[in-house]
Amino acid sequence: MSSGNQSVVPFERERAREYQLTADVGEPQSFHGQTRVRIDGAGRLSAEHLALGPSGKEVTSGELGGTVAEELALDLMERAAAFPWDQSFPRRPGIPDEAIVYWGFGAADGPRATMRAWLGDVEEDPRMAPVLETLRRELATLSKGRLFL
Amino acid sequence: MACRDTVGRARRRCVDWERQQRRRCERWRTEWTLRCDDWQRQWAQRCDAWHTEWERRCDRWEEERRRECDDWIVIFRWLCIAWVWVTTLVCRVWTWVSTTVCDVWTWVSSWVCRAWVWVTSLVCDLWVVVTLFVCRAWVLVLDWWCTIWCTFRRLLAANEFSESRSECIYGWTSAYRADVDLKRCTLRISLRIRLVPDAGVSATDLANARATWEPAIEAAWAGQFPLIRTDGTCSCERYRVEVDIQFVASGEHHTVRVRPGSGRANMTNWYVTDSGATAAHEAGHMFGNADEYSYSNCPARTVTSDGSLMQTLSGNVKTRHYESFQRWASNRTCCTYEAR
Repeated sequence: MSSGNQSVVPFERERAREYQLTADVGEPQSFHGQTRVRIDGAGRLSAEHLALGPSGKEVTSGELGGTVAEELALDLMERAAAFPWDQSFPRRPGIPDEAIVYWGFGAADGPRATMRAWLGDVEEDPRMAPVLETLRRELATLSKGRLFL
Repeated sequence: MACRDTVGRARRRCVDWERQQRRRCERWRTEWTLRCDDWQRQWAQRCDAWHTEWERRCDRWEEERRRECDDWIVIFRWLCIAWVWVTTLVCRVWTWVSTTVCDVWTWVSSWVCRAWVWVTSLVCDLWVVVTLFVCRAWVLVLDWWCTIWCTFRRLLAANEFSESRSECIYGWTSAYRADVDLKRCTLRISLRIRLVPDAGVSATDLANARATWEPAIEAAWAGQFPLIRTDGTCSCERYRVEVDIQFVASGEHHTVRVRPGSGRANMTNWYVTDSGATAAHEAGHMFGNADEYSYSNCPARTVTSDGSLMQTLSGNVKTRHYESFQRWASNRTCCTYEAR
């Protein structure tokens, strides 16, 4: 996913536009494939959906790009900086078919923090849930409901 | 292997063993009795022959010597006759003594032979009795063990089945109700699911979803394979598996949160738009089956490619997915059943 993983992200608010948050949910082999979302502090959002094709090979079945309000993007960066990046995984056994969320966060030229968490835990975590919810909402709007996290 | 069969087989083996050993003892006794009889007869014949031979020799001796005495003058003839009489007497005594020794030998050796037969037959019979006792004691122990084992297995097969399952980094509880109908030879699996809809799920949406999921799960899981008896002597040679999905408000085996729209379903989180195949797949987990698709977080997972419902939503149920049902039926009946 990335090199130089950090458990604490040195977030500089004045450089928030240079930060990028990624969320990869699921795996291409799973029933719902993998949805990858990238958003930076400037509000640029891109997403793609990877799944297994009929030949059994990984294919991109959906791709899109767009923008979100800058204030919203900055808010997401700020919230992402407060994620429990040093959290271990798995902290509990997963529910069968439960997806894993792979988070990534950092400045474009700086160190990058990554973490994994069960989707159910992300939905329940007070720090991560609002970010996931926002990304889901923006993704649904941009993809007209085709893609989901 | 069904333990009742093991006990039955052990019991039959004991009977076979007894029959076989008794036959051996009988054969031994007959064989040695014949040998002793032969021995006695042969020695009796030898003694007779010896006696006859020596009688003849003595007669001949007497006759020839007497004839020779006739040629002698009178005074010496009487001496000659006395000599003949004495030597013939010695000959006859010798004949009598040697024949008697021979007869005694015959009698003693035959007696020893018969004693040998009697002792060895007794040892043989005792061997049969002791080994049979050990064999029957073993059968008794097996029978007790089987009774305890079957009771224990029956305890494992409560109608309300529940079992912790784990695979890779996943863990869940498999739970359902199982009932056997011995008259119809059916195994009825009931799965009670409590659906808890999110705020955004309307009653109509939920009703539609239920109408999709229930028949889809039942169609996917019911009667795909019979459970065939492979060991044991239970009344049902095969069981037909019936699956009944019940959406209930309480007394559930599993609680499923139903969310609006589309999303990533798992065993306990379904989306109202999820297909019947998705519901059937998730029900597969509730019946104790693990996922079979490849997953980078689970490199040791058993990945299949035989069109299994636990691998792809377009797949169907395989015999291995009835493992929990066949284990339950085997435990309940103390026979061995396999989905085939």
